[in-house]
Amino acid sequence: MEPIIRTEKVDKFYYLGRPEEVRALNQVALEIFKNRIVLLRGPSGSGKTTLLNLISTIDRPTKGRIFLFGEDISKYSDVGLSRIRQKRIGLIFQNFNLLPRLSAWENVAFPLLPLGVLEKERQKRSVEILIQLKLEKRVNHPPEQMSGGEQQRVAIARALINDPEIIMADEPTSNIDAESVKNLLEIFTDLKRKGKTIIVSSHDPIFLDFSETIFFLKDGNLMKIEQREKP
Amino acid sequence: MILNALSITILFMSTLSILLMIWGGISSFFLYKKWGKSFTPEERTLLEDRSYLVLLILAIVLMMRLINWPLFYATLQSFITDVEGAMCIFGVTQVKPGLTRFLELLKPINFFLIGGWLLLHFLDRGTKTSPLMRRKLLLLSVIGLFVLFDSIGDILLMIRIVPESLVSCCTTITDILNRPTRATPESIFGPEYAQPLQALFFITHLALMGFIGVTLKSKIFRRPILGLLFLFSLLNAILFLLSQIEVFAPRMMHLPFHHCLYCLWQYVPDSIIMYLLFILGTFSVGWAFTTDLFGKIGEASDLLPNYLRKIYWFAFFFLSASLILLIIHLLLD
Repeated sequence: MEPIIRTEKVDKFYYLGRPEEVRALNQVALEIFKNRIVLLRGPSGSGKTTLLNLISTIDRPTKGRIFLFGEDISKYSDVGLSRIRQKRIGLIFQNFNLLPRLSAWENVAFPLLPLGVLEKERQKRSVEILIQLKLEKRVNHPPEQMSGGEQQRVAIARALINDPEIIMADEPTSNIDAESVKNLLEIFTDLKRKGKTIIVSSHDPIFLDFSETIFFLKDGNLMKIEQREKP
Repeated sequence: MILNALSITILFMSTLSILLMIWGGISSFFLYKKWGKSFTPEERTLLEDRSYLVLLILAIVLMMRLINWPLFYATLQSFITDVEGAMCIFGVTQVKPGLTRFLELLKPINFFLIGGWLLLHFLDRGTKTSPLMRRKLLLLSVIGLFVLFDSIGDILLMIRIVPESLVSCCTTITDILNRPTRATPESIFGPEYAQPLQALFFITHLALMGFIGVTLKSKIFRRPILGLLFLFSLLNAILFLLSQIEVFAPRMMHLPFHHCLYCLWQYVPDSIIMYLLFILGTFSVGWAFTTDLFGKIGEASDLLPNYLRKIYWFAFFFLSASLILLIIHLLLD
């Protein structure tokens, strides 16, 4: 089976060639297969978020190649990468990155705007997803009127609005309470059941038992790969 | 210099175009040189970021130049009352005939080049790897020269057209018996050239639409065929111009012996829409050819057939619409 994501000797250096050069990732080679729950684990500064940014096409590597859905994205233009993000990858950010003053459904519908989906359809699809995530009472509320857990579910709904094949989450448990963490794991399990691939970058031990593939990172190096039975 | 809202707008737009085009043209040339070399993903990001800024600013300049073409004529129209002897735009063009003719010739060329470049840009935006970026940057530097000439010409003309200039009216040139637009068809069809010229235009125009229709149906876009279609559309444009001056304009104006197109725009303003549609239709056929010429590279080649089909549909629509408008005018006479 061909991996859905593959990296080949990926380096990411910041301030290359300067005295303050930072080697965020060093010769990272990994494979991620479809319909798996994957954890990128490591201490702060180990390169988890950098790696997530690279495989989510937000950033580009200094060296090395990244294959997404079997295609080498190193030659892709910025527009080409944006199009992959737009249609095939759902991103959940650590601080949710919801737009203030916009209601929950408007935030969720936001990724549909550049695709030219009409407002009625945007609203219909957003409300459907918000209902699935048990946010039917918050459809018209702006983020500032919601709890951290609710805000995160809105962010998840936004990540799912284009029905992406891969969902990536950066430190998803860092800004929510225990009850919301439980809900989040349920949502991820449900998404896996629907055939999605979930990639989480986190140092929260709660994901250790939950994940099927774990990549351990330290100082930008991939130290260990653990494969587990399905949770 | 005649100062009014339109001439000030032209002066402002042209000055801005010159400044931005000098910077943008040079930048795009240097980016083109760099783009040719192999680069790491990060270097590509850096070049892309710079290119986007250059492309964005220059796209604004190009848009300004597209608007400039109709604005140019609107400005000349606004000068009529200030130029002694002028009854239409033709009179104003006689104040500085050489420069005005040069600009009148340059503006459609610019419009064609800019439109062609924008189509190439949109084709490139549809790809994943942006294979046309290098060509786009090089073409942009070349188009920049045309834009510069056009903008400088506009400024010079605005400065050099002075109020109270004395010129002759259009009738002294356009209605004389040995005018070139009459001599050419007369030498081919004889003194009763009007009917054959009119018929030839309709046949050519319908044939052009027919050829476009066949090309669309066959879905085969071979470059020689696209080139021939472009040449045929140019021939059609010449016949359109001749038949307009000699046959249709006098009929539409109800002035059987007056052959000035500028007067037609005054008497029948909606004829401008017909002209615009015809120009867009003819240029679309040319744009399909140039897009094939410059866009057949890498991943863009796969998108090209569908893209060319869309351009030809536009050409077919614009040419049909201009013909329908012409027929409506002739029927209403």
